[in-house]
Amino acid sequence: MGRPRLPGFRLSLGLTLAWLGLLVLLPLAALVLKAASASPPQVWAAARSPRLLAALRLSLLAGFAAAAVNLLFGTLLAWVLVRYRPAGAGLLDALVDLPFALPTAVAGIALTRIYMPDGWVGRWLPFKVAFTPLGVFVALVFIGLPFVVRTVQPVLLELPPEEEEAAACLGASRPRILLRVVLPHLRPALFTGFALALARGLGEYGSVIFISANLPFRTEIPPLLIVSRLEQYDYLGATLIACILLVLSFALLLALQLLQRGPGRAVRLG
Amino acid sequence: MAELARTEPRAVRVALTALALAFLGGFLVVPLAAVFAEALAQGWRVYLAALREPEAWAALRLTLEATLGAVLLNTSFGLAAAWLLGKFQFPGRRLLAVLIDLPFAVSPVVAGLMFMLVFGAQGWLGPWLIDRDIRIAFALPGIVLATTFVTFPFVARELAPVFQAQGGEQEEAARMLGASGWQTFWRVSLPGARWGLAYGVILCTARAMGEFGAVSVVSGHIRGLTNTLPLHVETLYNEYQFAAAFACASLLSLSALATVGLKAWAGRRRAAAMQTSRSAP
Amino acid sequence: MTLELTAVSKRFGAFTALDQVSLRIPDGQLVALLGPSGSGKTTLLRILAGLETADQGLLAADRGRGQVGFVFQHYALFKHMSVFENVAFGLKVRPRRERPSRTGIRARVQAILDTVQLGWAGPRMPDQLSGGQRQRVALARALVTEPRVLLLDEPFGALDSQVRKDLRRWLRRLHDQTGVTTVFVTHDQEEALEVADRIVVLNRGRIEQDGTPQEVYERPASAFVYQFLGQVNRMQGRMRAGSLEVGGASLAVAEGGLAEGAEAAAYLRPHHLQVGLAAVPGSVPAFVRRLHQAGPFARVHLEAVHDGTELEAHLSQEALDALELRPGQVVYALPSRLDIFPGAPGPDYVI
Repeated sequence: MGRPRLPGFRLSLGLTLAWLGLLVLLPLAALVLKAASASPPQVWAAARSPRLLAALRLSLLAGFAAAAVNLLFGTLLAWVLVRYRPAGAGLLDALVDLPFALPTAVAGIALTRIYMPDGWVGRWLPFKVAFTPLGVFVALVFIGLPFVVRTVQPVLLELPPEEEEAAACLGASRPRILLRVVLPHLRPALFTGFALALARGLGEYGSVIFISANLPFRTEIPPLLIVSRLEQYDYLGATLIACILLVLSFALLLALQLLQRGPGRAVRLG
Repeated sequence: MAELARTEPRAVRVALTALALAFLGGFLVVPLAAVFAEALAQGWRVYLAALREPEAWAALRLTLEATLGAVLLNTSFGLAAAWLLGKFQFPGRRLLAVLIDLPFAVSPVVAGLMFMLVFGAQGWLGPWLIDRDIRIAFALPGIVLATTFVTFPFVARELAPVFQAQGGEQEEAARMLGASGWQTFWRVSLPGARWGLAYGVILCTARAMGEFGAVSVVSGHIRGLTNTLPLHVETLYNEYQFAAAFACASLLSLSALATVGLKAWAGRRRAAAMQTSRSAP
Repeated sequence: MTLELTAVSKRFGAFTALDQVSLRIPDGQLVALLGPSGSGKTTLLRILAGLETADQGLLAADRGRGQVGFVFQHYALFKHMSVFENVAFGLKVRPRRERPSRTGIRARVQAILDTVQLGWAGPRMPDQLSGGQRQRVALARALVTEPRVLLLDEPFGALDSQVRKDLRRWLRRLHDQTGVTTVFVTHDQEEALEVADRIVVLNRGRIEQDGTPQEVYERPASAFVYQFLGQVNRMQGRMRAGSLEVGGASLAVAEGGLAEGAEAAAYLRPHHLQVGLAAVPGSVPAFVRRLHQAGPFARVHLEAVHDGTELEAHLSQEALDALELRPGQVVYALPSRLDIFPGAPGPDYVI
């Protein structure tokens, strides 16, 4: 493409880069540089801290499990909303966005009250949910709910019915059609939705800290460890944990992006 | 001739719908209902009294100010970025899009930490700011910045596809008719994309109002001064003032519901506008 | 306004859209840029408009802001504005000094809408109008600023056949009334032949021929132009003793210039191919394949005996009746007029 035909290229490029640099890259640089000021033994010690490792393990396990549940039910929801259009679908569709719009703290205290041993749901369950890793899992499911639905929905809406009809004419059974004709179209969206839900889950703070009770080595999450370091004015410690968390998130997302085969297809993070 | 397998059998459809509704109800509706139930657990008078607390008002005001600041900043950025990404092709475009999406992959707490490292007393600009008695960390500017970071991509991401779907022909037509670049932008491009902008702004507002983790780190939790409403909810809850906490939470929930409704409405308008952009003129 | 292009070239990456094109359009002419997709005609038009810049060459055109009226194939109407607002746009964005008063604008917009027979459509939104109406709005919008040149990019390409015919006649009448220099791009040769004062035929970035409709149709300058405009019969053969030998027949050739033994082909229009029952010097034997008698003239589809080349002859109904032809019969096709162009078999342009 030659000279841009529309006005404002240089202006918008300049503004965008300036904003990006000041608001995103500068703070990130501050984080990285601070972490770099630590000596390798310090970094190693921080990375091997049993408390951090326990927290990371919990985050990853709960995060993956929650993203998986959201993958399943999110797809189901999107399918039901798009294909079956039940009564009140508009309202339900709007509701899906609630975890996104609701402040995480509100979600946190609400979920805690419900799943507490004497809460609305907790009293019916033979096992404890609040104040256990299971509680963390529940909170992450809530938080990640919209992501898969919202990435799958547009794909389903644009799906050409002719392909399914052609397969049906050729005699394929419904499960087979879903597997061979519909699923391939959905794959990129499923990957993206899963990645988004997972990314959100790994960094989640507000909705988790209430229901988890933050029991050391049991129900702590990495963001909480960062905050507790900060409360003790240990900026370096907090930074190290933050960088480890960032690296982990980026690595995971990158891995997901590569897994989703397709030359040069970027899984948009947002 | 056998019935073509065009959709699932009725029994399956009903079962799946019921399952989906149960999931939605269990995970969404129940917590939402719980907020209001808990808020009113001690009766209306306690509820209203909690809302009339001066600290609650201060928290609400701070939340609104921070949200306004973040939305204004991100809208001006979003307009520029969306114009760039939607109307032009250039090397590095994809990389730029990924960079703009970066805040989504960063935990809010980490975001707050990053700003503390720049503006905090021990941060890069710390001494410089203290000398000039400028407060950013533990004050409104810091909260605004942290919130802006967390909601950075929204306006750009939702506006860019609308700009892109417009193509460039209307702008070219405007140019041929003698309009300057700015006239073209304000009279032709932006009005044509107003629903994409509205949608992005709504998303940005919703997320900004509800932001917790980043603000928690940057604000210092100073009651009545630097507590946003979500932080205030946390403070009340930790002090076992449950009814009051849920009362404030109910306020936030109502705003969330309003947001969700607005989002659905604006989203429909945006989809319709993009549809007409893409199809025959 | 007179437009002049001198040795203009334009490339998009590895693709050459225009190759050393020179063109002069005097004031007041109605010119068609005709050619297949990829021929460079739209690029040429956009360079004239200033929407693209040439890589090489000169463009002489006295263009100020808003002095060039441009009509897009897909109208490019401002969807969020009413018809009135669309048409008024060119007047409203003028600098204050040049801007007419509000009543002035309203009067001019209404007048131009009346001219395009859409006087009632002012308050409507573009999506409430049909394609033909939208295109007329686009024209009104371009004309209201009284441009000194009007450029149209396949203006009727997106419309139904009947609407297209009506609008092209209407464009011609409009041009006769206003006298504005007008250049339009089309791939529809019928449209070009019917509307334009002058046709510039483009192929692969070069001008194949530039002349009046009659010149371009009756005296095509190349095999490409012959094939692109109007129907054509093409017979491959070889030069022998100054004549083109086609399947045993010797076709008389007007001028020389082709070497002995060179491969060449005869091009002729269907109405220049006569059909007879008796062999005559210079006639080519052919099988009758199909007769097509619905329409103003009769069409006889033939297949040359010597190599199966498909030929088509147009005759009057009476002439056909007189012959009493049956499918499979052998007849003798005699060109009454033909042109010879060198070359081996194969189409000259990419579909």
